[in-house]
Amino acid sequence: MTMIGVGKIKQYSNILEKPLSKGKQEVSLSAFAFLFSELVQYNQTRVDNIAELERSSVNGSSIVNESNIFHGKWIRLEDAGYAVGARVLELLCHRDKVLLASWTSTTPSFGNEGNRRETRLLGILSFVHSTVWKVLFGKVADSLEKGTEHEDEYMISEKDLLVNKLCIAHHSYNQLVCLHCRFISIPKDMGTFNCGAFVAGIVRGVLDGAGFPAVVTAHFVPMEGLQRPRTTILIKFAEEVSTTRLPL
Amino acid sequence: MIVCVAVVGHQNNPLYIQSFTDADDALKLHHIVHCSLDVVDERVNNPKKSGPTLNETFLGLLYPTENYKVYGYLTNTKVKFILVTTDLDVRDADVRNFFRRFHAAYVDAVSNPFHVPGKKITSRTFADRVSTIVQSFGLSSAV
Repeated sequence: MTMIGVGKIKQYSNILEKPLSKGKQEVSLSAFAFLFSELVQYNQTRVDNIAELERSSVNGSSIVNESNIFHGKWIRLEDAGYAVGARVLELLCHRDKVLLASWTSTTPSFGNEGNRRETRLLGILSFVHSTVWKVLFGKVADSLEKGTEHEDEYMISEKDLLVNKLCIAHHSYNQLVCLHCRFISIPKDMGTFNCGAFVAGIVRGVLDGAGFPAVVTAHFVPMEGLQRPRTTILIKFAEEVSTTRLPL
Repeated sequence: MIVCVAVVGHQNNPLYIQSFTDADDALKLHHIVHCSLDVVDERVNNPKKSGPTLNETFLGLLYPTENYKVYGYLTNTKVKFILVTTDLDVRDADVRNFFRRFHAAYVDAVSNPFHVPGKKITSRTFADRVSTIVQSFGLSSAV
């Protein structure tokens, strides 16, 4: 579902001529912002309670400290994204096939999901970069790059990731600048929390479901000339994923 | 007549097995489904050049046993659907149609946020939809 702020309605002269709508494929931005802010808050309180539980039951060996709590919040948001990603993959594979089958009798391969399974690394990456992004955010991701340092690292960048547009972060003492004000504000003591972890989880869910295990994280990359830092999703594939074609 | 349908996860763990006749031993059907998994793996790992092109989702007739025919279907997430039928003449288009609708029901069942991936599918709606699809198998002539 894509996010819209304002919709355009075509005016029909006669109400009987209006086609039956098959329903909007979009969700309003404010509804999503509400849901997402609740999700972040839920994770926050949840992790605090677990931390309390751990501290009270295990005295002495408390490995729960502040950095663990932040890490925990990050992990939980990412796990929520993982669940979404796994389902999005199933849905897209089925939906693409149904669409293709309905208007062609034989199904030519577009090199994409269609009637076929993607086994190539670049194939699955471009699938995430274009199809998944288009379904989730209504547009193709800004760029897909290959990392220079390691063979199995790739980056998807987005100037204005939706979930980060919803957040403002107050960072006075490090190099990140203040993000544009929207709906969620991240207090200073939450440090390097990045709502892009949710999208990183979605990407990880899609890749894992397709058979390409990877570690996916979200990072802010400050850019010259831009007021807000760019969000980069860093994908590091596991060792068993070679850069050549996968046998299965 | 469809005897049994099964959904098997990507680690060959059974997610859903449903048989539609009382006559046959359920265990025997489990065994048939299990054996067909080997055929699926072999079909995927050693693609025939002359056969269907690589990465096709519909695997076709896996192997015929004494009374049954077994059809397979592989989704993009390596989840396999197995169909066991006793019909002697089954049209390819019918089976494809069946798997298409089955895949739709499966996607709906998995989209349930309370469903844990890798665990059995316990949704009753899914079971009802599957029985509807099974009952209308082969009856409609429209592809």
